[in-house]
Amino acid sequence: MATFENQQYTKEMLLIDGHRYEECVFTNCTLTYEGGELPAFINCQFPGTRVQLAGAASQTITYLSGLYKGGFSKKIEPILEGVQRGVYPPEERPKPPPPGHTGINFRELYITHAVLIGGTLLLIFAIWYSYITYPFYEILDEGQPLFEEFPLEAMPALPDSLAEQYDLRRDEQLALLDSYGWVDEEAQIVHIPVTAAFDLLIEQQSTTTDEETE
Amino acid sequence: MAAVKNKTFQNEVVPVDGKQFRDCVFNNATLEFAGGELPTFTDCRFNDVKLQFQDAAANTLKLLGGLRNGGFSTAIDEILESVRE
Repeated sequence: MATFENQQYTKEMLLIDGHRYEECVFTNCTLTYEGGELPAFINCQFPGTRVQLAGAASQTITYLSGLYKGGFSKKIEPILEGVQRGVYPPEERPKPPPPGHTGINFRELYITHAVLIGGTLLLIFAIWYSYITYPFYEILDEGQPLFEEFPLEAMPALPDSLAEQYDLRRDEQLALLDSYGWVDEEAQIVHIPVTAAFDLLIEQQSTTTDEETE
Repeated sequence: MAAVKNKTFQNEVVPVDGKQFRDCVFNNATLEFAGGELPTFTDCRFNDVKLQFQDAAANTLKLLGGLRNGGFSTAIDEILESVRE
């Protein structure tokens, strides 16, 4: 595409296919177009200039004319009107949706609704059946654990004599509670039976109270 | 120029440049012209055909529309009117 800028053309015959003209003046010229790449005119002036079609462009007009006279006038007229309005190629209207999508196809509508309603009822039934059959209140058999038991192998090992040791220790403690003896002989600290200790405490308390009264 | 005889075109795009159609039937077909040699139709039947333009033919129509809106309305109208005559 050749570009021509600020040119003055006077009484010339120009082949305009594929050319770009900027700020040019065409005076009494003939612009010839042969159907090639579209030309571009930017801020140009055309006093007394005419347009001429040749080659494929002329063939196109002849073709249109032939079809128009051959019975295709109703097909050609919208094309000519589109060219006159500068909207060629005419904008094609979007194709209408298929009848199945327009809502007038009641058979498909019924089938769709039946499938939807059937599916919904099936889902409700499945939820209800699951609810009534799920073992919320299952009664355990004798000896059946509620949950899986922890394996004994994983438990820490305890001595078999633990219970005997506990009993011995407990007897020793009970014997201490009911006997006299030394706790620390050097410090002169003794232990006495609990019952004797209570009596001693009560006696000491009453003695103190009498002294305060006097 | 290629000759096409006794053929039925159904739901298809038919390039028509330089062809001689004789005794052909076009059913819901699209006649596509690209600005080449003119076709001829002899004893043909056309049922719901569409017209389509390509290449030079489409360029020509686009240029005519552009020129008409660009100050050449009288000249372009004369060309278009010549089609109708």
